[in-house]
Amino acid sequence: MTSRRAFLKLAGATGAATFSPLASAQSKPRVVIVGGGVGGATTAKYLKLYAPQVEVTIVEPKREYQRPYGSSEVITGQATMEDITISYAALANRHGVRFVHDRVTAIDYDAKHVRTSDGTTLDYDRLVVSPGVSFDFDAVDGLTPELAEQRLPHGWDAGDQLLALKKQLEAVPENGTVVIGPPPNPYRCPPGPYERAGLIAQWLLDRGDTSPRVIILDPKNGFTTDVTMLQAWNRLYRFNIPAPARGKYSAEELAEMPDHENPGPIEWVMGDLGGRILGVNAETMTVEAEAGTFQADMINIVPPLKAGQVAIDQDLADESGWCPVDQRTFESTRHADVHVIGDSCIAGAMPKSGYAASSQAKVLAIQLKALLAGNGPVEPVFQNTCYALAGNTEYGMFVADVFRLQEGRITRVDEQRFLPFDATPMQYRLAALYQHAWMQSFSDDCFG
Amino acid sequence: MSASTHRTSQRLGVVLVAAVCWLAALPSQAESAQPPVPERGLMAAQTCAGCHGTQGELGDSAFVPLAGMSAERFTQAMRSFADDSRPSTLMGPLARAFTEQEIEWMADYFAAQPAPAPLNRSDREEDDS
Repeated sequence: MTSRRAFLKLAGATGAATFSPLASAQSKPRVVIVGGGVGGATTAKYLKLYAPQVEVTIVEPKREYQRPYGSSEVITGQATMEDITISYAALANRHGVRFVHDRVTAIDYDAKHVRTSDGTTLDYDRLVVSPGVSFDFDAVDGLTPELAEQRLPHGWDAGDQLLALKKQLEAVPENGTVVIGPPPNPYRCPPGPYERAGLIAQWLLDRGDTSPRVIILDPKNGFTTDVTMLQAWNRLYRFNIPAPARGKYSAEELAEMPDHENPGPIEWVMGDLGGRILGVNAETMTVEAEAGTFQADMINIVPPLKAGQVAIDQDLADESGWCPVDQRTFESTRHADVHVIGDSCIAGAMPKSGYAASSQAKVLAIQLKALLAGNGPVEPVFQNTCYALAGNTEYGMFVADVFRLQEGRITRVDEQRFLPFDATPMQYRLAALYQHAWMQSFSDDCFG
Repeated sequence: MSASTHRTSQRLGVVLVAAVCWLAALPSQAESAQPPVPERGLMAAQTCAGCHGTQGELGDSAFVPLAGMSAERFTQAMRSFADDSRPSTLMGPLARAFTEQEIEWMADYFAAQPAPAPLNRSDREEDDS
């Protein structure tokens, strides 16, 4: 490892002398990262791997990370809060990342420093902002941040809301009704709300319920992995493909998914069938949708999402609620020397997923190394994989994509993205196996 | 280290020829003396890490560690995924989405990484300096 360090010092020094007035004035370039989630952690780790001479500081109020990916399994008991909690120790001790556990209160884009709530000021040469998402509670009549902490948790950003949902599920009476309200596009973890619906249906069936109901009230007519997920539900849960969704399949495929006379627990009220939620009443436990009023024993609405609050407060988001960036370097189009990655940024065809945030972070690490040395950016290539479970935890699926920059926009390479309709039982089982293996390998790649 | 030394002597000539490009190379190439992988190759190789481990290094996992895999074996695996002669879940479409050049860069990159020793994890824990 000594020779690697020595080499990088040499490379860094040469770059400084030749190209960069910044680096020659400053012996150690400073990168400050706002947010210690997947995007921030991966940027920090990979930047230290690729350019150890850079001083990297993560500003993050929380002392440890709770991963949202795979966290619906906390609600249904396959995972514990401990399982989804990840230490920052490896980043700090193994990779030399400095942590400031505080909240950002101001960013001075001219003076190039970040201020935190205890008055600490952190100077930067390049700033990375990766704050995840925030929630637009105003968009759902009757929903408030306070209710989300009590009767109506969304559980879409890990935390204690998952345990609240777990308790609520356990309190659902026999053959009761659970309403799930997925958010409109764009949102974090596209297959996630549907995986959660499947997991909850499976949990109720495993409990011995004979006719529970899991009603998905959806503003949308489709979702990532829908073709695979609906097929799985047809097989596993006597799910009938809604008429407006039958166009997703060929006639031959539909013939293999006959309607069940006695349909199972999951109902997908898609947008065209009036699934859009108009309001919710926590007192009466009713949800008002375009299709009518739904009485429920448990309500799990994920409100519309927008960029992380700090990105909005610090003028990095536009009127869409998300942060526009140069999609080659993720540099904000609103403020120079600031890079926004992960769920908060507008990244062309890339989804808002942990894997996407991590892929963007690795690209950014290479770009920051180049930019700090006074060089131009490198042609990027990205990858995303989202694994999901059908409900039965041995039936898995995924979406997998490679992305490239085309005319300034991150664009999906047109390849098969899902398991084919005629995939073998082994392929579904392998996808479930890989889903669980990925939780570990991915967390290690970002935080380990 | 013996494997690394062996590679060094094998590849010495290549390294001398490639010395001009050396500064653009990855730090690990300096140690193992593989042909330098350009930054674009690093771009391609790092896309594997979410499943196959940072720099291809992985402990006990359902996924295959890529660090230390020979370039020939890596390239052959990607080609057989791409033409579906090797069954897969998602590797077939992913292999087709990368260019031949990117796959060669990936192969050189992973061949240059020290192979992990999965049966002796305590040693690996110490090797983190």
